[in-house]
Amino acid sequence: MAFPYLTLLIALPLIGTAFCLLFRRQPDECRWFALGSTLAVLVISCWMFSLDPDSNGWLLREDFPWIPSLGARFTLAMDGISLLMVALTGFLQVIAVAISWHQKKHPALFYALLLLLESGILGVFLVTDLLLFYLFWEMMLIPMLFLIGIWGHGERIYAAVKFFLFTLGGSLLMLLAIIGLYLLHGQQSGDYTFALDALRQTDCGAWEAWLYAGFMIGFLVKVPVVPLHTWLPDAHTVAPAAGSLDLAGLLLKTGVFGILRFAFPLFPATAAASLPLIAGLALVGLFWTAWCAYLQTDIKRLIAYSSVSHLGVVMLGLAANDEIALQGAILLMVCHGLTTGAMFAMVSMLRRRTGTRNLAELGGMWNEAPVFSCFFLFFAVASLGLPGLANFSGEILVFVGAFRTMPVFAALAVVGVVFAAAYILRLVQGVLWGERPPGRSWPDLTWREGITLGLLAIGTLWLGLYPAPFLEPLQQPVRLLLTATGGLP
Amino acid sequence: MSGLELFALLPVLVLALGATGLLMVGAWWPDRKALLFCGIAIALVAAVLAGGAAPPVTDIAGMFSAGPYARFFAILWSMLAALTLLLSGRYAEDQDFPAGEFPSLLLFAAAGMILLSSATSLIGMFLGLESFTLTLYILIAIDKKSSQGTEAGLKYLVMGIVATGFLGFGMALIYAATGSFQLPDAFQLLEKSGELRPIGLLGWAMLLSAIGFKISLVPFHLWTPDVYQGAPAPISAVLSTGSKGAVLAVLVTVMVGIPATLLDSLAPLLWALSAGSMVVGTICALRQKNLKRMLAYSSTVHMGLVLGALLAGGEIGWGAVVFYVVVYTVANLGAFGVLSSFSMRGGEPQDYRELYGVGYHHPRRSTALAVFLLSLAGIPPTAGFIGKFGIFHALLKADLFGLALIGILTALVSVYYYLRPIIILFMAKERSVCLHQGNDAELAVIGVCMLAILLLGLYPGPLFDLIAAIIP
Repeated sequence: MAFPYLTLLIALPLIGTAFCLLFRRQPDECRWFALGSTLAVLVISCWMFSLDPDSNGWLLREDFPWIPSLGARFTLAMDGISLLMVALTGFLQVIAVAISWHQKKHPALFYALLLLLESGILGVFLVTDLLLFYLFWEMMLIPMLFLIGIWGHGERIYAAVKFFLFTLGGSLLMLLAIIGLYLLHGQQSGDYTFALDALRQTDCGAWEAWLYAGFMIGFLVKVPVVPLHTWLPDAHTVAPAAGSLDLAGLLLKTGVFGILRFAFPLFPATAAASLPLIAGLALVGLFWTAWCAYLQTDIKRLIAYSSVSHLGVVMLGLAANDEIALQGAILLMVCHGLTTGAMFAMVSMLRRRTGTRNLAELGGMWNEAPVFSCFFLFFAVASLGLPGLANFSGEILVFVGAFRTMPVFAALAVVGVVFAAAYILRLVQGVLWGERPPGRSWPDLTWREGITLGLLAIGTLWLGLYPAPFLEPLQQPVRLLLTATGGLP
Repeated sequence: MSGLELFALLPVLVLALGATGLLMVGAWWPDRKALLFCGIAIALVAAVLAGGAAPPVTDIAGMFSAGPYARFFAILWSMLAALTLLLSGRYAEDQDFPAGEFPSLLLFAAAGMILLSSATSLIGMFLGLESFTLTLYILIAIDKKSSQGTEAGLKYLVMGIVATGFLGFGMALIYAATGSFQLPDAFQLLEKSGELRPIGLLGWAMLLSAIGFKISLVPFHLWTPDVYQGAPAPISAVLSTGSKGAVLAVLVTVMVGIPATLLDSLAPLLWALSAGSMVVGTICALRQKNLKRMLAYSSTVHMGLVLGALLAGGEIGWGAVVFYVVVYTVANLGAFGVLSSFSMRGGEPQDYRELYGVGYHHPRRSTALAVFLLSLAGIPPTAGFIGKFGIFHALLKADLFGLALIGILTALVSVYYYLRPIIILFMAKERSVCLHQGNDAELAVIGVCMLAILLLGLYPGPLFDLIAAIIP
């Protein structure tokens, strides 16, 4: 039997967690444990780009018995989509550890939770057993709850509980749907199992729409899609920098990923019928949250809303049911992870220097901290979709693909980019230009912050200029998915 | 009763005789620590005996069973007694509990629980239920200095006696209608009893009310918060775990043998009890600012959920009930264990305001408490999730969509009241005052519970298989 690399991926952060808790009186060691285990995940996931997929698109598959009496198995599998997501997770977690290097309040617990969260996210991206999936899905919640609740600013407990209840409410409905599907399949075939491949053969009959809705609500809350998004700005406003980075960069992606991996393949017919609705919600969300972003004075809240707005474009790519659009949507998730992650990191650096996130009290950074401002401008225009930078390559693919299947929606969505320009330019104008408030002087980036942002900038440039290596592993899984949902003849 | 039957009853006999011995020795030689350890040893011996060789006969005088199902619960309740005794060493010392009586009564209670879990006739049920309820009356009020404890004991006594009245009269009516105390016969004959059937049904309704009192189903739950609050924490642990689990265990035996026609007559009642307990318990728990009272109302919600699975029935339903009982027992024992290890001489920190920021002074026990609460809330990867999963599985399988939906909604709301103590432990401003440091025995019990919760949450397969094999 082959070496269980995927299990190793999930286990590495857990080992890091255990070490952090054991050595909780030595914060310096904990930092290195955290960095070490996140780096290990990143290295392994980079190596996985060299693997060749089998005919079903799987790069790696692992299968162990778990709860035999229920038919649940510990099944992990990785295709091109999960490969990209795992690599993104590995990369962003390294950044997350780096930007919280000087965590002063309970550092050991902080790193332990960050690693536990990583383990849960990796699990979600890798499982193909529905019960196990649900286990990992919920496992992401608890570390995030604590990250927001302990290290947050302001109304942290309110935001933490709101986040928890919203996502849990969605996922409990999903749990009912999972059990319903499990029972239906068991009654039809006599084989009670949670395996994704087997459950795809189920004939759900009249229940299909309900089951699909159960799954989708669980995922759409996480994405989040308007009107289920209200937990997100609150959570982002109070979350610590690493928490925001993980929330925007990774947790939101688990929602989209869940739709791609579970909701669409399990119920292809209903999914195809619901695509216009999803596209409509995506468009409404895109404009509504862009408008909200424009109205914010707290720059972190502004970026939070912009992040929901970008996810609207991703959802449009999903709804287009087109090969190019779907590839673009997945690529855009990765790009968005980098650019928004960088923006959240920079907001926390800014706040550490100025003590405020209020647009009215900021300004004049360009003269005070030129390196910081360069990076800020770079990531801001990347997030706006400037050609040559990350978001553009994803967005253009989504728009091109969507024009082929739903031209009206696509045309409307392109207008959304103008909205993005409006709020991003307002952000840049408010932070970088203008007069600096009197009597203050702000230091420029430290070398550690510089390296962190530099890494993100390299990733952003790479994705913008030469996204081919990232698109290539997507081709086969995207084709397989679209064949199921009728997007390909 | 033949010698073989006595042999089959050995675990109970060991517990009861050991308890009597402790009582005697305690009168002349009141060494608290030694007696406590003797008590633990006796409970462990009983567990080993129950788990050891299968007895030659499985039917004891037509009243109790000594089959695998009964022995499973014998092990569970003996272990519960052992762990509770281990947990309450310092507590008993600090609150100056009587040296011999305390371990002795706990062992008696365990013996009663085992008898109840293994009952196969109405008489056996009555005997088991009364023998542990009687000891609990005393145990709840064992702290002479605590007026709340006395109040709780009295409250439990009054309520318990009413319930006993219901139970006895219900059994009499069933006997009048069927002429049998034997469990499968007592309802199978009901279907042939013709015009006496309504009387038998009334008997069953009264019996259910009595059981409702014992496992605090709505509307019979009102005693629960006060009694939990007033009782010493280790006793609240037994009260919320064993005393409920044993009743549920015998209910499984009852439901396994129940004929479909009778179940149809009782189903609306059970449905209403289950739904009412979940809804009312949840609403009441939301308002609590005291950990023990919150756990009391939460136990009402759990019992409602379990009752739903009992109603769903089938191998899956009964298996889910037994699994849930085990998980719920471990989590509650752990939660009350943490509480009793926090307790100082003369008081327990039950109010949330006494727990502010305790997570940073006592990280290990606070983490454990958080894990237990999350398990009660049913959040993966704790065992509570697998338990809840089993119950929802059973409910959906039996087409009880209404109960499943109520269960999901209350589970969602319940997260709020389980999170509150966790938030207070970890996210509130830190207090300057520390609680008790706890001793090794308490930490060991908490550690065992936490390990069990995580292990059963991540790898529940073996226990599932075991339970599937022992369901009668």
